[in-house]
Amino acid sequence: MVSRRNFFSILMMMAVMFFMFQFSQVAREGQSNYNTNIYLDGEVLSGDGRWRAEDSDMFGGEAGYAVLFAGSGSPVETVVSQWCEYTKRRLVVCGGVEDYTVSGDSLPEAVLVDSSAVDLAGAMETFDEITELGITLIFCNLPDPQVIRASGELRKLLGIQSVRQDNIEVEGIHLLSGFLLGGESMYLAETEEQEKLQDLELNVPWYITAGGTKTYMVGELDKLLKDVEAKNEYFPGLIWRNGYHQASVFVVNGNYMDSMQGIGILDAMMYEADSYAIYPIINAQNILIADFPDFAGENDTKMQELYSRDTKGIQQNVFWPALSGMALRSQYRLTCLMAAQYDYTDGVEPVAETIPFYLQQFRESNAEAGLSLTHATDTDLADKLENDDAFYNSAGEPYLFGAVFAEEQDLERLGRELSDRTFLKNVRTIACETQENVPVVSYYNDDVTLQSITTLAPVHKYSDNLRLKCYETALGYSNTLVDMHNILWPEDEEDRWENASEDMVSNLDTYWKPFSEFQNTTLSESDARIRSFLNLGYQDEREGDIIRLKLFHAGEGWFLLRTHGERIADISGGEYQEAETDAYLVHALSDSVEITLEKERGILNYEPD
Amino acid sequence: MSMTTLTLCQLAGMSCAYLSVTVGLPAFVFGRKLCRHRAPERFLLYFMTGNFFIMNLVFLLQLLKISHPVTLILGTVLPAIIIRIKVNHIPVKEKFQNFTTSLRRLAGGQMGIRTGIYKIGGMVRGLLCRFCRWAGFYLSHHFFDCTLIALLLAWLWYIYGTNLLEYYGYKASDLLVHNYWINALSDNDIFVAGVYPHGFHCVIYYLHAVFGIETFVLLRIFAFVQNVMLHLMLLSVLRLCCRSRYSAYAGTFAFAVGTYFKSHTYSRYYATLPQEFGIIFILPAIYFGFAFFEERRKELKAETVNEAGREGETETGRTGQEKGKGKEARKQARKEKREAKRRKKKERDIFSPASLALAGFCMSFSMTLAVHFYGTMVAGIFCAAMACGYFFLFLRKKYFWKVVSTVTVSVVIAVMPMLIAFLGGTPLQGSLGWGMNIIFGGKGSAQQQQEVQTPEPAGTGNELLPGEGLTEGELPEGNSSAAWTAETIPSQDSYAEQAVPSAPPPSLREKWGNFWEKVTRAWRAMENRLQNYVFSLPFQNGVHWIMISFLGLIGMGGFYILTRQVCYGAMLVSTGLSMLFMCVMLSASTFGLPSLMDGNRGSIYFAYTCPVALAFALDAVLYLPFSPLRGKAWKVGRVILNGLSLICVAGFLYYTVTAGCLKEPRHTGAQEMNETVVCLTNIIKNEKDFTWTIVSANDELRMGWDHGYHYETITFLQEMEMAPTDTLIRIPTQVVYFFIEKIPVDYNVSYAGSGQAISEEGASYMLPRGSGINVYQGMNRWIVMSRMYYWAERFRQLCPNEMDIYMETDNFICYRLEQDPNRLYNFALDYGYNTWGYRAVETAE
Repeated sequence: MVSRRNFFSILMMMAVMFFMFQFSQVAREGQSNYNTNIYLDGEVLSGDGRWRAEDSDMFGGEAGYAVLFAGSGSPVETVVSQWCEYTKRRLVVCGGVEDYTVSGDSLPEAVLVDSSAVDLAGAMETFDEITELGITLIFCNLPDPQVIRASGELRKLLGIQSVRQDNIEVEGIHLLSGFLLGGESMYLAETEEQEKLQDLELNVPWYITAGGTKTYMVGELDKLLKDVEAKNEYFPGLIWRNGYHQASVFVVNGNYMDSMQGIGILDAMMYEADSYAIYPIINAQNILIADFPDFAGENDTKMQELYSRDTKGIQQNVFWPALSGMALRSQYRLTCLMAAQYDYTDGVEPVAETIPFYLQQFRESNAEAGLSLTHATDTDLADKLENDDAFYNSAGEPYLFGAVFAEEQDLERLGRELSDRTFLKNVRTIACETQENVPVVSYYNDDVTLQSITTLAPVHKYSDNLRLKCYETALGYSNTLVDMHNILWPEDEEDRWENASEDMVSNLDTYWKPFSEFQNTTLSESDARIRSFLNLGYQDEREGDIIRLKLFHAGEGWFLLRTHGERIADISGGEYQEAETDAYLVHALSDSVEITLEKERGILNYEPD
Repeated sequence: MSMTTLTLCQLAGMSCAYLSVTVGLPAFVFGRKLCRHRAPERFLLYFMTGNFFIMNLVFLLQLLKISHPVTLILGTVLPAIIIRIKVNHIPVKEKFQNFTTSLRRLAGGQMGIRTGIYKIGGMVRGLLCRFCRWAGFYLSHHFFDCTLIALLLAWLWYIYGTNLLEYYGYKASDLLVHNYWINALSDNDIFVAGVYPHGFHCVIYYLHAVFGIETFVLLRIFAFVQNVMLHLMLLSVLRLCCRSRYSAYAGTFAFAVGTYFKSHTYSRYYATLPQEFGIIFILPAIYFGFAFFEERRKELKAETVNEAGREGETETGRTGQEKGKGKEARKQARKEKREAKRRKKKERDIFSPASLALAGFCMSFSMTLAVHFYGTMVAGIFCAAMACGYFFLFLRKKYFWKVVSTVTVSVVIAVMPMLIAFLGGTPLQGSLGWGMNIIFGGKGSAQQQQEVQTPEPAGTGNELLPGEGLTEGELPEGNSSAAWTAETIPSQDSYAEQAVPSAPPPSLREKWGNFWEKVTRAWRAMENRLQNYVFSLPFQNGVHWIMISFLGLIGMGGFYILTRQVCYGAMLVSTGLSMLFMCVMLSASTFGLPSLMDGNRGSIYFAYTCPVALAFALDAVLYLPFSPLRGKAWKVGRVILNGLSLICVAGFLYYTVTAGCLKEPRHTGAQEMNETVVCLTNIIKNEKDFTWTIVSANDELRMGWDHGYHYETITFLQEMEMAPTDTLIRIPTQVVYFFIEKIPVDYNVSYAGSGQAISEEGASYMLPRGSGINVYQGMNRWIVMSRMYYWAERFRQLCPNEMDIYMETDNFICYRLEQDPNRLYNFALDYGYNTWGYRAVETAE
């Protein structure tokens, strides 16, 4: 028999317990402003004010320039012109060596050569003049080995001791440390698992570099060849530097400069050619979860079959906890690109009731909600947008979507639709899987930026890793896509969540770790930084140990400072952090930044008594 | 930290380390047992024991191939503890129980932590108080001793120490070879270059392995510690042997302070060389020899007295037995048996004075042999003289066998490791081969020594000091050889030739005349030899009088023997005789005898032992009037004697100062620039071990052995000579340092352009050929350094960001290059002079 007094006590305790458990949740929901996109706050820069080489006078005087000897429209030209735009240089393109005269008044910072368009042996005189003036000379590719074998002068210029073979299949590629950010990498397939990752070009001419050259990337030979024929130093050089007259001559043996990754290689070369390098970067690391969540549940049968749950259940109870857990652990900021419906002909309609749940979850995980505009091939983009517009309007959430994910074939049409659709009117940036020679970041139009997908998280082959390092070196930027469409519409074992998530997590934790000093951002955040990056102009000069940096047309900006054995002793007008050895991420907070360097290892003093 | 401060700290550290093992540890073990002995004697015993122990410990562990810091520490600490427990009969169980009880009480809360700390503090306080009391007592009772010792140490620092702060490098050419041999000990490869007495190397290795002091640091500055010990040994021995307290200081100061000896007799003391380390053990061996005879005599005397007493008692006992007191007689017999047992035990007691002296002799004589044969020769000469001086004791059965067996044991101990290695198939090292030839009647001569040592130029025979190029046959300080060879005594053969068969047999008077003439000639030859090689006296006929004093010592010794001061007298006789033997040894070539030791070496030993004879002479003269005194009279007389000796020391010092005979510190210079040592020290400190290589001319090869790699400059340059197109020169470490002398040093050899800076002209000469040291000597060094500089500048032009200047002064430059170990630089390049420059000069020639 319970006494009244005890009964009352138990009741009170239960009431208190109930209150304690429920209060926090009620309070959290009450206070949450999940239906506001916090990443879309404030004014952003417009494409009107972007840096243009022809307007460089407006950005603190005439910009430095580079000269390119290349045929018109060649991939090298695309890459070099993009690199010049990002590093705020003018580019002078010459069809041939004869079109260019070395002028002593204003010397270029670098002369780049597309060897396929230039007769190198015949241009030796010009190269002599260029190198005697101390201008960095970059050979973006090499001519046929026969041409090099025939000319001793050319070999001397290129720092080639001998041409061992016209073509050899190397076993792998070794990227040495200190060149690209992210350090050393060995792209060598020694196991079956690694063979799946090997997608680099392995057939190269075998040049043996001469004494005094410094090699940055090298082909690995198999063990047998290594023992019999060559020491490490005889391995085929892929990227190296030679000293010729007063200048550094960089040589790329292979097609690494034909795609946009070349911008990273060029920045690394400019750094190696000088005592330091400082250039603007974006400083943004995005992870996009495309087609998540999917509100229609069009493939419920398959989901039920694979996971014993419908699409809604698996997304809510399996996918999201895993994704949010990963984001929380690694401090990622996810951009989840919601898909209303994929196939508009199957009669399955999206359900809007889970939208608040996800928005709330995203808010709590510092994620941003965006829109995925992917659709089945037999659905017209206009129809999709119309349906989606209706769906999101019916949901009644006041959330403003700032980022969308679109397919490359829809890009052109999307421009017209953006202003017409209510749910798209706040979109500022478009993420898109583009071809390799499309700029990594650019203005789609004056109001919207375009951010190309740089890598796919679940699949990270050797070429992806090399590209990632190049982009991080040049831009401090990666835009990684986790495409949930493949998981919701699986085609093989690899598309199953347990496999895809394992690959995704291990890749992100492994290959992005060296770049952890760069900031994790959502698409809208990186959009603001991209605008700042594309719009700013800068000038830098070094006097003794002091580097003075002036910024134009940008409130703030991020720069990468790379040194040779020097560290930042002091900084004014900004702040910095060490990204890796001899590489510093500088955040310029005012128009004028002064960086004082000091030698990590000064000259040892000895005063004889 | 400046290099001066670092050197001082290193010196302090190594002194503490060395003394803690060689003096502190034996004192810890035997302190209680030896507390009744005189302080200098204890010091000698401790020092000999310590050195003997570590030397033989290293030998043992090396032969077993298990030498390692851990085994060395265990091998030192465990025996020390065990022997201390055994010798002092420490009740270990009881002590351990007390300790555990205290711990239990502490853990159980019965004793508070504060009480525990207070107890420990009390123990420490007690120890400190005891030490302070002892120091106060010692200072107050030995004020003049302390003052004079402090003065001596300060003087030694001024003469030998300051040079360490001025020149950081090795002060002798063959220290690199010693360095190599010591490095080999780290790999348990003791006889890496053949069988050789490695006693010195064992001690240096021990200090390196146990205390972590770099070998090259030890070889740089251990010379000073060695010097101090060398002088302290002299002082201690004199202090123990002389009857007057301060005569010892006269001898020591004569050696340390004045310029009475030629400079080459002490110039080697600036370098850490085995021969000079071996000198430390000569005088203790001699002292322990003297001490043995004296103590043994006392023991035997006491035994005779006791024997007589016992015989009387036994006689009484027998009478009593006869009287029928059977029970008491048996009791008496048992008592006698017990006493006989105790006597025997006492005889065997290692801590009896005579046994201690024998042990001391055994250790020190053994160490002279284990460190350097020359030291043994000198000690042997003294032993021979001692056998003559003490012949009336030595030839007795109770002395003879003890002495002979001790000498045998000491030789066996020293030779055993070498013998084992030799029997194991290890060949003799060059200089040892020469020594064996001398002993077993080869064509022993200094010339042959030269021959033997030629293939191994730095094989411990012909150490060259910077700025010093003395070799056998050359005379020091500008004396012409004609001056002394004219005095050469004709050989036996030449006498035979001179003898005319038809001449009438000489009369007794003529025979005496001939003999006297021979003696006087020999005397003059020895005088000249000493004058030329050893002494540099500020007064006329000084050498003559010094030699007379040797005779005087013998005479006075005889007098003291007659006046029943037998051992003192014998000691004087022995010393006088040994000095005469030394004179003969120095002048061996003039007598047609095989030259055991060349003049330069012999003079070093002579200069070191001569102060012993001089101090003895002074002491003998001063003691003469007081020798008959006994009892209270002697107490008073002793004070006067000490006062007189102090006055003599003061007078001697006054004369030395006023006559301008004060030694000046020598600026020996070094075989390498200070900058290289500074660079090396910093590299070792700042770089991770075995991630760096130094490209330099020779010296750093051995100095950085434990930490990094070395590449010879000449090899580096020769490899890219005339073949830059297909040559691959790579150095497989992450960091490479290039040491280049802008003004090349004269590495033992100077040339017309000595002191000139490296230049294009130097670089345009043909690169010296060969691989020996001569490519780094004279003009060759200038060419090599010039070439190296222009190579470095060319490479720096190619890799400006990778190749930094690490250190630069007017004389020296060091470049630092960092490379990726996965893709090493090919250092072979056309730097201008390795292609056309070479040919141009060749054509011009």
